[in-house]
Amino acid sequence: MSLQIQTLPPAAEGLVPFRWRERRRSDMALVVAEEEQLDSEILDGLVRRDPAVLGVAYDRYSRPLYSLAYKMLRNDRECEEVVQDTFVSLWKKGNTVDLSRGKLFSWLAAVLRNRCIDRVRAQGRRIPGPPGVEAGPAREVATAETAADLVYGRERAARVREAMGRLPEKQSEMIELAFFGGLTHSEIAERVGESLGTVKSRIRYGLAKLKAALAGEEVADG
Amino acid sequence: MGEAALEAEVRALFDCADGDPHAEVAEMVDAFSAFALADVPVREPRSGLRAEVMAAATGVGVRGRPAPAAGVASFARSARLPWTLAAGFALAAGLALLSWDAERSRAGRLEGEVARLAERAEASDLRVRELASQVDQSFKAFIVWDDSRGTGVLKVENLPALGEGGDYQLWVVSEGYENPLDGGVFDTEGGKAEMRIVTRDTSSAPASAGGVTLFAISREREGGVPISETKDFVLTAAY
Repeated sequence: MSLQIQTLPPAAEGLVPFRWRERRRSDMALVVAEEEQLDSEILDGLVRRDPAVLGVAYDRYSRPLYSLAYKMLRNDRECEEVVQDTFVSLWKKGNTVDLSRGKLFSWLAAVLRNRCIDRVRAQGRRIPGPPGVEAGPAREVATAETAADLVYGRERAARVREAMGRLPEKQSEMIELAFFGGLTHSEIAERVGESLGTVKSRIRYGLAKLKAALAGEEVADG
Repeated sequence: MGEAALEAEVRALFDCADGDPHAEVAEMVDAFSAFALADVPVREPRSGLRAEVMAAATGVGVRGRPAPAAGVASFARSARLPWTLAAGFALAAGLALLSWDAERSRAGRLEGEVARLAERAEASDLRVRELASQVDQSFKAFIVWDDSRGTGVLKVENLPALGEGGDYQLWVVSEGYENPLDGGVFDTEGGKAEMRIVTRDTSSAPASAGGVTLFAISREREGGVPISETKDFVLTAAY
């Protein structure tokens, strides 16, 4: 009954449970259960109006949210504003978040995404593409770590990336336009030159494959 | 955006029928988020943003004193005495460390590690604190602490294993909390242990420990206790 010194699994970064030494490190289901438990504890704390719990949520999710905002806005000042707005929303509306309707991070990401899209549309801009020379002084971490690694852990994030890599380019483009562009199915259909039905089915099918990857299931090609 | 509005948007986005179960919609939402994040490089927010976000959201400073959670036992006045004594000892030990002989500091491996970490930490938000013992001066421990994030790492040496029935428990005394925060339990192997510190309050809810004033390690029953009533701390350090 002694502490085994080991590097914590990437999935556990930031959410080490009190009795973490008892965990089975390769058990993805357990990691997911711990994530859900911590999210649940955060929401309970928000209901109690405990400011410290908001701090826990910030520590856990601010980096991936900020990274996501930067992908969409490419401006640190604006990123700070939307991240702040997102956590203010969580503080005000955390008691309405229902984890049966999605993970806490998904709620935060949806709020942040909408804030970003509002800003982009208000300024008549387009969501930028991959980082380029316009990105300004980079604070990106030099490693290949991604925002998905921070939220889902390396193993699951790698599965998602692998599944994404298998998506046909057009399917991936459609999902990207839906999330980052905030386009409706009709707008996407017009943009990519496909029928509305094709766009709907491809987005759903593509996300179903990502959902399976996230859950640790085998993802079939096609 | 309210929850209903969010779900309405998601249903429209994924062309979900009204009859589709919540769970299915939720999974699509999660997959959508995962897709969005998958290839996004990590970009660090400015370290001061946390305090600004906390103030904007809650209207109080980061280190505001939250009310204890309902149902949690209050920290009895009589129970404060050991902590006060521990803080007094830790402060005295800290002052003594200031006059430590540099040669002695370099002599031990752990001390050397502390010195190297302290040097590196000077350029960051991290702080390195060495814990001192009234019980046995051969007990060694240090904590690398990030006060802006309320997390850290504990490393100990020369601390005897407690074995079955007992655990060491780390306590973090923070300005923002009525009771000392539980920093986790551990036992040693070959006198050594290393633990990532994640603080919890007395209701075992996650707690963000800002404004730390004291670290202390106690011997407790296996698995730890919500509130320590020990009078003999094994190791302490003032922040």
